Parts: sequence; structure tokens; C-alpha cells
Amino acid sequence: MLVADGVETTAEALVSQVYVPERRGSLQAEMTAAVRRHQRVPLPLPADLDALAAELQSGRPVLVFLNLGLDSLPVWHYAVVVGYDPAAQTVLLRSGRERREVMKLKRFDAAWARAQRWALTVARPDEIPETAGVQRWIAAVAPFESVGQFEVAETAYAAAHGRWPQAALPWTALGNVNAAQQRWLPAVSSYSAAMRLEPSAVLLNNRANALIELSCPAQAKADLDAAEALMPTPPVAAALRHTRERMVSVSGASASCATAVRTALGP
Amino acid sequence: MRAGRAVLLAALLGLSACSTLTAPRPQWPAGEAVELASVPFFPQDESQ
Repeated sequence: MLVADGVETTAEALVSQVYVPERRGSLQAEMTAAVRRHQRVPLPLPADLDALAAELQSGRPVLVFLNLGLDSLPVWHYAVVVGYDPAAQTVLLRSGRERREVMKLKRFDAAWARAQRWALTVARPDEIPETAGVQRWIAAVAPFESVGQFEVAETAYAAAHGRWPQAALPWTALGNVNAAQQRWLPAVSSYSAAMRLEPSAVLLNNRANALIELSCPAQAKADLDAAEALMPTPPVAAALRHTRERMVSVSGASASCATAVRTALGP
Repeated sequence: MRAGRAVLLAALLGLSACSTLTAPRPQWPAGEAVELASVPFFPQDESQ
């Protein structure tokens, strides 16, 4: 699938990245980690045939996990779905040693169900798969941040904004990825864009933190006051208290604050 | 011993048959057949 998506690698190189000898096979966590190492987004699919069909129609192969045995005597197996035929009710697989295995849909579906219908597709960060929802896409991309691949995350979040222009989540994620890189002005700008779509105490808290870093205590205090007026949940309220404590350490406004307020807070 | 194995096998097959009987018949959405013929193939030796 990675090769189909333009990644230059070999089967041997991938096996060394996903084969876990102690567990006698390639496990899902290792599989998704190997995909991420190649700057591709591993996107789990909804557990239904419609999602599989939609991805195949849009030209994306789908990796599936099957149990070819019984619940009590499992035979685990990975295969790549490369096609299907509604008239014959069959599925086409790249599977084990078979380049083109034709399997009856009934058998495939039963084997897939016994493996909790796990399915995964692989996408470039700027090409969001057909069946992705905004939350699932952002969740699939977020792990890139924790391994320091900020460019991949930024590209994917920007693509999410293009696909779902009315959703606040991509802007929030862009704010967080900017904050993680201590790029405070773009962070404030992203949080502000998210708040214009869907204000929340979390966003106000995050923007207040960025404003503190920009030595803008007055603006940060305004955000914290507004957040507390929204009756936040206990964990968010605790975060707001923590942010307010940080604010005490900042005294007065700096010259950079005026710039931040003008360019990043927006209307 | 052999009878015990037969009972176990029958129980396993019975359970499997029951779950097959009760599950709704899977179906692809209506439309044209799809085949992504250009997806490369790397044979996997699953006996490893």
C-alpha cells in the first residue's frame, strides 16, 4: 500500500519494521508506526463494507485483518483489498502468496468480523481519504506531533481545513502544533480562527497560554475570564487556574504584544 | 478420547453455524466492479 501511494521501499525493509518475532507476526500498532515513519497517515476505516467500497472506488487499497479460523482457534492473517464485484459478491485480495485471490464476500465478511473488522488505509498528509471524518482524520494525524513530525501534522491539518472549512477542530489542531513549536503568533492566529467558528473554554485557555508567552497579560486575562464565564468542566477549570498562575509571572505588556493583538487575535 | 474430540469439534462447528445463520447476509453496495490492478504485490511467507 505504501508503494501504491508513492513511497519508495521494499517488502524486506517493511518486514524488518513491522515483524515482531516474539508475537509471531505483524501487529496493528507496528503496522501503523511503520506507515508513519514513511510520512503517510494510517487511517482506520469505519467497520463496514460501504466504507471499504468507497475507498476502493476512490482508488485506495485497504489493509484488512482477518481471522481465517474460528473464534476459538484463530488463524490471523493480513491482506490488502484491491477490488470487489457487486454482481458476483466477491472481494479481490493481495493475500499471502496469492497475487489475485478472489474470495466470496460471505467468507471474507465472516473472517473480517472475527477480527473485529479492522481496516486501514494509507494517505498522503494532503490527500484526505473519501471516508474520513474530521475527528478521525485529526486523531490519525495527532501522533505525528508526539514524534516531532510537525511538518506532516501541519500539512494534514491544513488539508483538513480545506476539506471541512466550517470545522473548528483543524484550526485548534494547527494552534496546538504551532504552540508545540513555540510559534506563538501563528498559534494565537489559529486559535482565534477556531474560536470564530466554535468558541470554547479550551480554546480560550490555549490562546491565553500563547498570549502569556507573547507577554500579553491583559489579553490573556480577558480570555481566562471569558473561559470561566462558560462554566467549564472540572479538568478545564483546573487548566484555567494553572494558566492564571502562569500569568502572574508576566508583568506589563511588551512591544510584541501589540503586534500579536493586531495581527493574530483578528476581528 | 476420540469421542471427546468429536464433541468438541461439533460444538465448535455448531457455534460457527449458529453465528452464520443469525448474521445478516453481507452485500456490497450496488454499482460497477472495481479492481485496482496497479497495486503491487509482495508475496508473504506466512510460515515465518
